[in-house]
Amino acid sequence: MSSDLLLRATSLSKVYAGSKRPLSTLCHALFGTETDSADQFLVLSDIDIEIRRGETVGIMGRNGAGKTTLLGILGNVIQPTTGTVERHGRIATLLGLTAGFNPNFSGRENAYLFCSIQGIDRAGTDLRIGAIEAFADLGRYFEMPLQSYSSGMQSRLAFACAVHVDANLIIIDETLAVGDANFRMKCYDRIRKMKEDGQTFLLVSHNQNLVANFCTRGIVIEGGRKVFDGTTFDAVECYKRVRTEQLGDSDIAVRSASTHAASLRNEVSLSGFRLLDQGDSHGAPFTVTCVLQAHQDVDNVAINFGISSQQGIVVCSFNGVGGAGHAGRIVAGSTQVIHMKFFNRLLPGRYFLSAVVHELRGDVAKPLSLYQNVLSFDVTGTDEMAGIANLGMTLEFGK
Amino acid sequence: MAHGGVSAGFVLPFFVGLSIYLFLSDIVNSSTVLFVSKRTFVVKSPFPIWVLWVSNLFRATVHAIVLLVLLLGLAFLQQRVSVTGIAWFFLGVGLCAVFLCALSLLLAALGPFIGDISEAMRLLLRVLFYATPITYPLTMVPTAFRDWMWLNPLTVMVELLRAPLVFGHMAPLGVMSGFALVSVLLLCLATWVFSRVKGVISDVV
Repeated sequence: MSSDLLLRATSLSKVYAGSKRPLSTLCHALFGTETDSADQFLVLSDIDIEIRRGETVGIMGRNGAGKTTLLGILGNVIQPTTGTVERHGRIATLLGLTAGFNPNFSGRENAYLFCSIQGIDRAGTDLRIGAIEAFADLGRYFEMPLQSYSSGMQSRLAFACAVHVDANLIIIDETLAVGDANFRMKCYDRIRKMKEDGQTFLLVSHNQNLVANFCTRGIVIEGGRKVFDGTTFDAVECYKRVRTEQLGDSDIAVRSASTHAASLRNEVSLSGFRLLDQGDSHGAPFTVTCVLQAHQDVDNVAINFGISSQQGIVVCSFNGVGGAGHAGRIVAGSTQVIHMKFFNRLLPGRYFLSAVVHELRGDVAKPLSLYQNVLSFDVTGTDEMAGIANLGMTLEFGK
Repeated sequence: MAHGGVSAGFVLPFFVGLSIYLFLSDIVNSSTVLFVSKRTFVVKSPFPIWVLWVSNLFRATVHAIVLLVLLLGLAFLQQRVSVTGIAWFFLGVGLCAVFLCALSLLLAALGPFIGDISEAMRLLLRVLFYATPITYPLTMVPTAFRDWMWLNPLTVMVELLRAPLVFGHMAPLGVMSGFALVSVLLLCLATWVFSRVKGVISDVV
């Protein structure tokens, strides 16, 4: 075993029996009897994961993809149906706001409870309780029962406890999503600082920017299977494809994210993406052109464009479904040339263009084809400013 | 109440039966919903769930100790306490404790898998109250049914405590040894069931 290995999951699978037949689960557990396969559903299938010291791993996936079940198994809360998990060191698990908390206990008592679950004795918690109280910043609520807390306050307490138990690996499942902006900033600063100190995190989030900014590795789960494990940029791109349902069942397989275009139904396609104008100066126009081609009649076509940074952060997206991007009815065999224009307010770096063609039916936009990172371009400039957008910042000095 | 020709009044024999019934009710009602009512500990936290069972037993034991103190106080007031009676009484308490621990663990393990088990248990306890010599002595039961009454574990527990505390003698040896054997077997069964199902309880609560 490598000394920096904290967690290794091998061939993890989880099958739940249908909620109507808990007795079959009981019989299976007691006597090993076979349960009706029609009454079972596979939540996770054949997942291998390794987490090493110092990594910050982000797990993304749609609702019901199996993320929380996976974290539950990794955090030793849920037992896998098959497969093994090796754990090395202390693992702090936050699978929910009130996970491991007693609603009748005060914040202080729950902090002691949380620490005791993590294997810290009372004397050890006495040393930490001041820091937990200060970080949670709950004021007099710290002495009041948890059931009187808002979800944001529960999030504060949970996160404060998790980051003060000296865990080798901290597992967090969307717990931060409900906190107020100031507290989330505080948490992110804390995560950043702990990362710099070598702390290992495993985060589940739908927030692509969070994963892009904080994680060193991204994993995408879809349909209970790991469909991607690699760089955060590629993971974010893979997740975007998953969200737009590009991956059909036959497509689901471990793969690296790629930037080639792919079509969902081939009724309408975009091709010939080219950059026509690329002004180097701030505010100069950029023009991207492509050709819309219909292979079947479609009543109402709309197009979305988006530009994202190398970190996967969406810089700007143009929502054609909202009205301005309607191409109207197109007939089979027809083509249209599309010009997408914007002004260069980007800071130096590489950027990627993506596009989605939708068919509008009533208030529903059904994706027809998706072009993820179909075109990339570099913006050059000086290093006066850092970030994504040039807002024309200046400094003036006066007496 | 009369037992072997000894009159013991009504309050102490009734209170013995009622105390053990209340303890049994507490154990049964809390154990069947134990893991469901503590769901966040079971499905959201790496919490050893057997601790929940132990903590529930401690809680119920505190109630039982209060009942025990009241019971002994009442026995002292009625001047029915003898050294041998107290010794047999605590032996009976020990046997009841083993049986109730086993029952609690078994119900806690099975509860999450059986829908409405808590409602069924409430009904069963109601029936048991009337089918057990709590408000009446066992001698009042027609002879033809008396032997059948020993199949009710609550009857055994009541008589294990009532005979020494109220009448100063031990319960029938056969009943005591049989109950001890049943309690140990039930504890083994409960431990086996719990060890088999503890991993999947989080799947169904």
